[in-house]
Amino acid sequence: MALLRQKGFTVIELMIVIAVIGILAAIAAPSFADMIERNKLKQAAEGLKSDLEWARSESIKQSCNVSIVFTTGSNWQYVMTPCTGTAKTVTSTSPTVTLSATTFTANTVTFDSRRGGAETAGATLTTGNYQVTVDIDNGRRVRICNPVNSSAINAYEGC
Amino acid sequence: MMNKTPRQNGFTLIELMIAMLIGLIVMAAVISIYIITIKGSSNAVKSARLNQDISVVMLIMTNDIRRAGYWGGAIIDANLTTNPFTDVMVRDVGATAGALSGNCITYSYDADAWEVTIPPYDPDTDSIAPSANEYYGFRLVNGAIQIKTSGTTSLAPACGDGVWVNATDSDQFTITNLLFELTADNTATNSSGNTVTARQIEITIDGEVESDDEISASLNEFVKIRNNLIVP
Repeated sequence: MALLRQKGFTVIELMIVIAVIGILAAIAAPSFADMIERNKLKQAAEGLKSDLEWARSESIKQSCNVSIVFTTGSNWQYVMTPCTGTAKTVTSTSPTVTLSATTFTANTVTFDSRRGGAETAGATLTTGNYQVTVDIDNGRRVRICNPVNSSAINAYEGC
Repeated sequence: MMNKTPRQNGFTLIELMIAMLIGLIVMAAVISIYIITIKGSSNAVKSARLNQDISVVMLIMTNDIRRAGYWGGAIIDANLTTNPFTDVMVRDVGATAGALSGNCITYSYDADAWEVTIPPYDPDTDSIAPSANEYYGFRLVNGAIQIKTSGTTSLAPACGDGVWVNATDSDQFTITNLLFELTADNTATNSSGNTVTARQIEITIDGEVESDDEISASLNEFVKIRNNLIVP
């Protein structure tokens, strides 16, 4: 009688499988990191957009100009001061997203309490490979857009 | 021992095909549920943005139209029948002013006499005469609501004069309907023998998402103009 033949994977087969998994993971990882980077930037930009819109509707509701003051850099923040109630400070949520610059005069945007107008300018958020600008188009409409000469994020229009 | 054919243990082709078919059906169901969920959440975001955009515009409109007719002269006891800011005009863009409804409104108020709250009135700093930046308006052009930012010293032209800028994003949203309806009622005679007319504007906005016209929103508001029309 022959010995009972063991059925199973050989070491070689197992190593090939592990190598294939490793190669696939190595290909996928950078694109995941890229997606996470973009999502962090999007999150910061959407937050800033809704705060600008909030400041505008608050200035109209209270009939009193509401300002937002920006501090740029990697430890960025912005402070919204309504006429009544306490000021609200928003700080950086992710160390990789920086508020690189604003084109607002004195880094301050003020919404007109009568008709909701503001300076036609914006603030630019940057992360490793991407950049988006949250700006006030025509001094009226808050929007998020891709600045010229930057890797575009599909969800947004060009500035 | 070797000449005996071993019994083959395995799936038959039929069994394999049935298994694959069941697998495919399950996969198809899972993928379609996933797609429906993703689409639903993206529609919810679009719908929320559309609602936010039109409600902000509505807020600006109602608050500003309510000021129509405000005049610094009233504070210094000037004759109210000579108020140069009193008219509010609605009509369609391009049509003659004086209709009772339309997609354009023009009005004016004494913005630079805003600070004239307490006498004494200072004629050097407090202007009670109309100037070019005291004529305002809203209109619908190419699916976007536009706001008049500066302009002429007349309300009458067919909604085409002055500088207008978009207040809604025409790339993302289409405003399908903007309607201002003017009702003038409660006509009464005051102690000086002048006719006093109270005015009210009904504003309707209908909008839809540009990429998916099944997502729509509409808003309706009434604004009472606080400054009545007073004619001799």
